[in-house]
This record gives sequence, structure tokens and C-alpha cells, in this order.
Amino acid sequence: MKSLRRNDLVMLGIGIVIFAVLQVLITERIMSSFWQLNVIIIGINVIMAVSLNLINGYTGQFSLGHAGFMAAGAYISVVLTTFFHVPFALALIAGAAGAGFLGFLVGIPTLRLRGDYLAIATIGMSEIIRICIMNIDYVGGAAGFKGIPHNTTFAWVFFIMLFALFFIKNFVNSDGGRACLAIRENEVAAESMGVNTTKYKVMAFTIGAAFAGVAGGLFAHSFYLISPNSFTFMQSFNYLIMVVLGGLGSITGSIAGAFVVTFISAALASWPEFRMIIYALALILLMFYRPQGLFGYMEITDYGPFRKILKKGGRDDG
Amino acid sequence: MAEPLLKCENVSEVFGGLKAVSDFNLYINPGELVGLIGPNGAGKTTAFNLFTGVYQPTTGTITFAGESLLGLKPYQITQKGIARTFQNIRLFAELSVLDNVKIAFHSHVKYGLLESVLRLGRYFGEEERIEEESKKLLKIFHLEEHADEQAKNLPYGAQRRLEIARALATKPKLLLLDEPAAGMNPQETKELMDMIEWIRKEFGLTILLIEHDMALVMGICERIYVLEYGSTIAEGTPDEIKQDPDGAIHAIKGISLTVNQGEIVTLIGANGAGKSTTLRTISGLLKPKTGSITFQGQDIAGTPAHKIVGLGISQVPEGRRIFTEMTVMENLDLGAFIRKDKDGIAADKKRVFELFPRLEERQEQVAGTLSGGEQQMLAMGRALMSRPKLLLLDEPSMGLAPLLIKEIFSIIEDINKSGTTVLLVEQNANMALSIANRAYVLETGRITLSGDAKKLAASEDVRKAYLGG
Repeated sequence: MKSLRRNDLVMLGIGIVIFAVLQVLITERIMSSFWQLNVIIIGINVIMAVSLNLINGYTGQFSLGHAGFMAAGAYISVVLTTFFHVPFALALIAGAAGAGFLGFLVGIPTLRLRGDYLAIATIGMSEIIRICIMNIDYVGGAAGFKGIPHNTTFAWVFFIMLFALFFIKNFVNSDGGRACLAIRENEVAAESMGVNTTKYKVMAFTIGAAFAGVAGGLFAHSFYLISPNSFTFMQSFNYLIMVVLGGLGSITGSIAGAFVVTFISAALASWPEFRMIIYALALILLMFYRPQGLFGYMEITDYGPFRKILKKGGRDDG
Repeated sequence: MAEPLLKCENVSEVFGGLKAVSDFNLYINPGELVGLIGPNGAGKTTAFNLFTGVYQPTTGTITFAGESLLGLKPYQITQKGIARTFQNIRLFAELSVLDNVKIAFHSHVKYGLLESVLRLGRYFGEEERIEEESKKLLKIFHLEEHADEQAKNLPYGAQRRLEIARALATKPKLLLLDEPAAGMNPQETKELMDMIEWIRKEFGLTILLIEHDMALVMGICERIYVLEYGSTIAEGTPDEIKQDPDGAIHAIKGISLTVNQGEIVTLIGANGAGKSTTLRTISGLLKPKTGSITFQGQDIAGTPAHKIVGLGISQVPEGRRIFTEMTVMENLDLGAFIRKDKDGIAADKKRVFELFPRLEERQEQVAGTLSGGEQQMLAMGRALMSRPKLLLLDEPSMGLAPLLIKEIFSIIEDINKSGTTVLLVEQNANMALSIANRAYVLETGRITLSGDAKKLAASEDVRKAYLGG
């Protein structure tokens, strides 16, 4: 078990090195402002993908409404910072709490549904959130919310992303995470092993929604203006693509998925019509040759070189 | 005597008008090893589902260690100390063998969400303890080398053992085993028996098990309940059950039916009504407890199956049972096994090929590679090769496409026209009644209706129950 703690420290170290390198590239203006923004978007998308993976990949509950929770977090936090001048950190926490609470409320009735039905119900839920926002003049309605302070920096995104990754990694490697995996594998058997399946489904949904809320807050404060149209169903679908591409049930996969998808969209920004074709082609090829996603259920720590670095790394070692 | 650990009084479970379990009574004392036996569909698994909260009883009470279990969810019942295995294995297939067991410690984990995500306090100590105890359980069940494999990749017997290991990890007082020996070979079953005895002592368990393997049940159970049509019909020690006439399970009771020469008679009824049992009793695979069976004036009750074939009764069993490793031709030759007349055999083979041209095209093909419909044809052809006077057909339409069913039934009519009497058991009551002269309706082992097939097909009761309204 000591090596688990050691692994965490090694991973944290690697994270800080990556941060330092990117931060230097940004402050020395080696990276163009276009790519600076995209690095931030990648970080936000990693939070979105990994939190959606907790619901879809680990717990096996097919949700397609992640953008709705992101919208809730975004609007709660921008109202607090712009109108009430609440410190950024507090506004982010409030956004997370609000989105998490919404996830909890929505989760209790909808998580009785399975598969396609749950997917449809969650799409409906996120559309309701979006359309509600669109009709509230206080937050700018359909025209969008203007005058948001530019609080989101690379450091904020990176460290919150790191926190989200550690939080979800630790959760899935604990008893609660095992309960979620058991639900995904066989609900009847999970129940008969003493797992309160409703409780853990709602828990996974709430945690996922709360992180989507934080990501929403970070996203909103990267721009001067946000509009409800940034949080459509297509956006939810985008996050699902990241998760499926990387592998349902792999944190490493979600990071890779978020990175690849964001990178492709950014690189093809000047040819938007090709972007969708390449997306679609990539997905078709993936389903043919690697339906379990890039990483399947594996983590980067399960692979050879990393096992050596981390000595007895991986989740099953003590 | 101490207070029973599990007590179940006058429990009934009704599914949409059908009583799966009725007035079911059972008690289990602490430390006992009790068996629950009975035919398929008797309600054994339903009883397990009632004890574990998967179903709620329609009436009656269930108490465990003095507390009522009514209204509790399955996970709450597990926390109270009842664990179970499943008849159709329900492992967490994609997860490792070790994780399968670790999950089952869920109710005994002493750290919360915050401690797990922040890796504080009791997290490490608890995880270490769970890992250690899980490995200990895997060792008991000889699964320790498989710890890191995915559960779905285990051999069948090992999957059954993992189910028991996982159930034990919930630290139960009462362990419910649903057909633990299903699909195991005799050697594995023997090892399983020893293992059940051992874990019972080692963990101080009370065990209730459902099993069809009578050697296992009679060998290790201290008391046995016999379930039939949802109620307990006998209870006692293995020796008492063996001697108790009520203890014997009546799949069919007091059935009287006649089949006249040249007729097609059909026997229809729900699953588990006793249709196949009736056929198997006529063909000599089963011996009737009481009553007589007369064929052409000769009493054949209790005559061995192979002699009955010689008398002119041939059966096409449910699920075809062709010799899958042999060619079509070899299958047909085996059908004529008891005959010595070479010319007659050749003539009959020709007749079979006339009835089933597809078999002629495929005479050298290995039977296992035939389609379902062709296998049914082969099973019928094989039965005809003994030149039977009476052909017993058990569910010839099972698993076939509608068009093929039509074809098979028109062939049955042809066989009948050429002078073979037919007794047909069929789930597809519509088809069966359309070609039969007369019909019998079987319900829970008794004949409830009989008469002209066309009249029965028109009757309100039959339409509702078997023809889909």
C-alpha cells in the first residue's frame, strides 16, 4: 500500500513538470494566443471527459446531458463573479455545488431508466436547462451573458484538472468505485453483494455533474461572452466522443480522448467542413478496429515502461 | 431447540394470476445444511428470490434471526447476513477475479467517500485488510492463481466456485446456493461437496441449497424439502425422503389417454406441464410409478426403452439429440440399428429421402453442421428408420422459423397418411391442433381437457390459455 502513495507522488511530480513546461511556453509567448486558448480548452475538456466517464464508463449509466450541467455551473459562477464580485474560487465552488445538486435532483428519477431511455431523458434534461437559461433575461437570455471577467488562467485549469483526475482516480479505486463497477457489470449481482445500487448511481451522477459545473465555470471565465448555444446537445455529444474514443472506463483514455478531439478541432479550425467528416471517419474506423476505445479498461500505469517507473504500479498492487 | 434462523410461513407469490409459490412453509435452524429439491418450474428459485428480496411475497411472512424481511431491498438483506449464488452465473464478467471478491466486502468497509478520494485515515488500512481477506478466500477456492484474470475467462467450474467465494465475502450467516453443481462433472461435484462441508464448519454457516444432483443432496443435506407446483409436499431427513411415497415428485398424475391406429393425437400445455414426461414414460425412458401403458394389447409399462423400439414405438426427442459428430447417413443407419432386413432398410432410407430431399443432398455431411431445421428433419428421419407403428414427436417446431415449421408439419401429415400413427407434443398449439385429429390439454401434470382437435381449437378456454386469445 505504501507504493500507492508513492505512485501518487510520482504522478503529481510528472504533472507539475508538464505544467512548468507549458507555463514557460505561455509566459515566454512561444505559444501563440490561439494555442494558449486551446491548451485551456483541452484542460477543461479533460475535466468534462473524465467526469462523464465516471457516469458512462465506470458506472455504465448512459448519460448524454453533460453539457447541461456545464451550463448550470457556468451561469451560476458568472452571475456570482460579474454581479456580486465573489472571488473566483468561491464562484467555481458554488457552480460545482449547484450543478452537483441539479445532478442529484435529476438523477433520482432518471436513473431508474436504463440504456437508451436514460440517454433520451438526460438529453431532455440538458435541453430544459439550456432553454430555461435562454429565457431568463437576468443572465442575458438568448443573446448571451456579456462582461465576464477574464479570470481563467492556465494555472487554474491545470490544477483543477489535476484535482479532478486524482479525485476520480481515487474514487474508482476505492470501495465506492468498486460498487459503481459492479453496477455496470451486473446490477442484480451488485445488489445481492450488498450494494445500494440507487445510491451509487446517484452518487456517480452527482460527482460527475459537479465536475462538469466546475468545468463550466472555467470555460465561461475564459471568454468575455457566453451564450446558451455553447451548451447544446451537440456539445454533450462531443464529450461522449472523447470518452468513447479514449475508452469507457479508462482515465488515461479520457485524457487522450479530450486531447485528440480538441487538437483535431483546433488544427482544422480553418476548414470547419472537413472537421466533421474527419471526426466521423475517425469514429467509424475506431468502431471497426478498436471498439473498446484507445485504452479500453487499461490505464497508462498498466503498461510496461510505466510499471517499471512506478515499480509495482497499477491498481491491484499492494 | 433454538429459534430458527430463517422462517418462512404461508408464503405465496403470484405473478399475473399464476401462483409460482403457494402456502410455502420452511424453517432452517442455525448451523443446518438443508436441501430444496423439486422438478423444473416447481418454484425453487422463486423461493430464493423471495428470501433475498428480489421479489416481495404476495402473502405470508419471512423472518431471519427473529426480524421480518418483508419490504427490505436485496442489499439490505445482504447486510443482515444472507448471501446467495445464482443458478445462471452472474459474475462481474469484465472485472478481475480479485475485484469480484473485493466488491462483496462492500457492507463491511469502514471508510467514507471523503477518506477514499483524499486517501486519508482508514483508507489504506482497510484496503489492505480487504485485499488480504479476499486473497484468503480465493485460496480456499483454489482461485489464487487466477486473481488477476477477468472473471469471464475462467473455466466454468471455477466461475461457480468464484460465485461462492464472492458470496462468502459478504460474511453471511445464511448461504443460499442455487444449483452449485449445475454443469459440473462428477469429480468436480465430489470436490464441491467436500468444499461445502468444509466452509460450513470453517465459517460457522447455515446453508440452504437447491440442487438437481440427488447424490449431492442426499450425501450432504441434513434435511430436505421437496417442492412441487409451488408448495412443499414433503420434508425430512434424506432417508425419510427416500422412503416417503409423497417425497417422490409426480411430474404427471393419473394421466389417461388413448391413441387409435392411424390418428394424429396432440398433447398441448405450458412449460413444465408434464408433456415430455408423458412421452418419455411411453417410450420407456421413464418408468411409471402406477398405472398401465398398453400398446397393441400388450402391457409395456416398465419395459426398457430399447425393447419398446423393437415393438414399434419410436421417439423424436425434444432438442433433436442427433449424433452431431456423425454424418447424416450414419445417423440414419443407427436409426435402423435393431433391424436386420437389408432390403427393407434400403427401401426405408429411400422413403426418408423422398420425405426430406435435403437430407439426400447432404448425406455425407456431418450432422452437427446442419441447420436447425435440417437437424429436426434428420431426427425424424432417424426415428422413421426403425419403421415405427407409433411415432412420438417432442416439440418438432422448437427454434425453427415459421416457414420451416409449416414444412415440418406438412411432412408430419405425410408420414401419418402413409400409415404411421403420431403422438405429438407441441408448444405451438395452433399448428398442432391444425393437423391433429384429437388433442389433450395437460396442466400441472393432469389432463384438464380433451377431445376433437378442431373443437378444442375453437374453445374459449384453450384459445385464452394456449393460442394467445
